[in-house]
Amino acid sequence: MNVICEETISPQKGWVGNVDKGQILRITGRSVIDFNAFKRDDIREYFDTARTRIYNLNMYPTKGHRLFSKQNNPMMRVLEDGFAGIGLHDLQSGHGCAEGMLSILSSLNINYLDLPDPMGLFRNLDISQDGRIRPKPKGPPEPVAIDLEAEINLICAIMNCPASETSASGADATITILQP
Amino acid sequence: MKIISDELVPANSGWGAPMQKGQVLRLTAKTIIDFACINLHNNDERFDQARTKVYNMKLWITTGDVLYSKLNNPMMTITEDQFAGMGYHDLQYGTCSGPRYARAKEEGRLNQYNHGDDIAVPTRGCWENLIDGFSQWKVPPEFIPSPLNIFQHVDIDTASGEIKHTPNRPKDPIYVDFRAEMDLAVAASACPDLAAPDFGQPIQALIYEP
Repeated sequence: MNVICEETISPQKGWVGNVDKGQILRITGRSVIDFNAFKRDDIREYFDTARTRIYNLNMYPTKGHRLFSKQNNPMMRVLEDGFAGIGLHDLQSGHGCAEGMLSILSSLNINYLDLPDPMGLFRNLDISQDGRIRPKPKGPPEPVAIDLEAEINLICAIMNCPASETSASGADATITILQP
Repeated sequence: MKIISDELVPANSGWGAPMQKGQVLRLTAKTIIDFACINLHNNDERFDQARTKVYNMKLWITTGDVLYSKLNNPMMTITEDQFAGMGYHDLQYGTCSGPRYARAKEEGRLNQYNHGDDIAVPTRGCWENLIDGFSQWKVPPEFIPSPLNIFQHVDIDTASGEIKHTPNRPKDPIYVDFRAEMDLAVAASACPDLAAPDFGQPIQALIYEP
């Protein structure tokens, strides 16, 4: 596979860029990373946590799942998930660092109230069988990667959140775009 | 109590109304109601599933719990929940819709609703119904909030995350009361509810002053 681009993202920094249909976005990290995606041809179609949960009939996104848009179309496919067996990505919480995400998305002119909820990568919530939600401050000890294959042309956005009670202390993240 | 309005909403259709702070909305049904609200004076401030779960610190809400907006403001408080002890309301699902049912049919997944593969596929669902319910306030389709899904009891294994549709609904119509904590526009959809034993039924929407 050819590496199209690779960037290191320090805590409280973000990245926004194009991922073409068929390309793989690899996100490597060990603390909470907020992830949003928009259809490039029409940003009113965006990644949606509820549609994604119900298409996969699962609360926690992992290998084999697809990421769906609010309009109920497939956007990405999870090809690999290095966090599996260590912890669970989150589709419940909303943004961990909305201000940062808004600033990196400034060229899309999105205001806070219209900012879609993200996928919270490496945000390991503790949800008990009676439905109680608690933060669980345990990320992976070493950086691990999740591979997301674009099913349409996308604008993807990644915000490497600062340390919080729900995350391991902020650590560098890496994004890599691969062309199979 | 003083009744402000009382309407019967036909199956698979939408309803909406303005409400003043302090008034109570009573929604009565025996099948799923998709429900959402927006700030009457700032229509961009909408009910938010994620904020509601995180501020209540739980997946399921009932009497005493609060519906929050994306700005973290309390919008409504559940003052009575007749479904308590029988099942849970859902905060995982988005809305059903014509396109969603079409995809389920195309992918051979209609049997997940517990009525087999050979069921009539609605051409519209709660997404279209909530767009209608909010029509006076012109909420763009892509910003119809993911709702509170009243009487949608879902089995969730919180360890594996697995979600299952269930046919668990009230046997007879029962209600949930929501007190408005700000001036609101509210909208409800009588869901086509393919997983219910007799599919989606009409609902009743009553607004009163306690």
